[in-house]
Amino acid sequence: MARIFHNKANESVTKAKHSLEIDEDEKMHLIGWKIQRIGWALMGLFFILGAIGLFGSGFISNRSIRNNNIIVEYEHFGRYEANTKIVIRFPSDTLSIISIPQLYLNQIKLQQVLPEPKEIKLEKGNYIMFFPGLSEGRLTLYLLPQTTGPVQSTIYINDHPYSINHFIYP
Amino acid sequence: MNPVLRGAAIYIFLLIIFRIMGKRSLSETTTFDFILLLIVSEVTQQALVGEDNSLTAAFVLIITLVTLDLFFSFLKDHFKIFGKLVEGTPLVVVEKGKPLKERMKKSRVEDEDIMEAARLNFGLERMEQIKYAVLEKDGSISIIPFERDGKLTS
Repeated sequence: MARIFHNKANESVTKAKHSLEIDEDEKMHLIGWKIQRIGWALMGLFFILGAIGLFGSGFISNRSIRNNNIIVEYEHFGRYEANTKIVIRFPSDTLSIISIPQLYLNQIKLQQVLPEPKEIKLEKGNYIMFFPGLSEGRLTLYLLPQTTGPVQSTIYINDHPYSINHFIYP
Repeated sequence: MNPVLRGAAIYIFLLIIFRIMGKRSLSETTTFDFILLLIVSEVTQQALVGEDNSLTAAFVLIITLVTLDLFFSFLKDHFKIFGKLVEGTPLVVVEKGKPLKERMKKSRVEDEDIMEAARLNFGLERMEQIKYAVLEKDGSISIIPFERDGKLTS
């Protein structure tokens, strides 16, 4: 009758009778298989969460703030030195000024603004961009995170505050 | 990120991932496994180097990886349990011509994998000619055929 090897959880595997000089360690195999299956389940979960945007670029990462007919869309989850953006949608000819704290830009590098501002100035720790007569209805700030962890700030569009919250993965 | 920490994190992450994947995925026996290892190596290279193409970063990373390898070898030599945890142990999957199905299922080894190894190494035709088949630590399958006329079958 084949000898069955049990572990504490009463899982079993048939013990092989052989003359081979190998350190088989059935107990380790049983533990290993269990850990393996837990690992597979975790990887599957990461796969699904990654696909839906837990690590950025997906619907659970998308945030949208609406205030005074202006909509600010951005990604809450980002990754270190991976491109991200803030998109500002507005009725034609209503957006004139955007103010971003320099502290925010120290953590999230502003790479490009499209369309480009007509004038830029630094005042009281804020990076201020002027867009007189902007008719496009959409403005994009292209960003590159330079830090990891939570990043919070408030940007001002036409003097109205919009709170931006990121979590940047390493 | 500090290149030492980056290199160490990736090394340990890959160690854990490949251990979870199972031994068979390491042996490159299928096209899927081969493609996976090819792509993983490309992704790993990007993650290790990032935007830093300096000679210094390359030297630091290489030294980090080699040091970690030496360190884990040291741990394996001095703590047997560590070696078993990281690399696993061999597993008999065929005993005297009979495949041990439960073990094969848990290790994701098919009859065909065993017969392939048997044909390649010894030109064997049937499972009954195999005395023992062992799934080794590296995911390969070693075959011990039954002796015939005092000599191993070849």
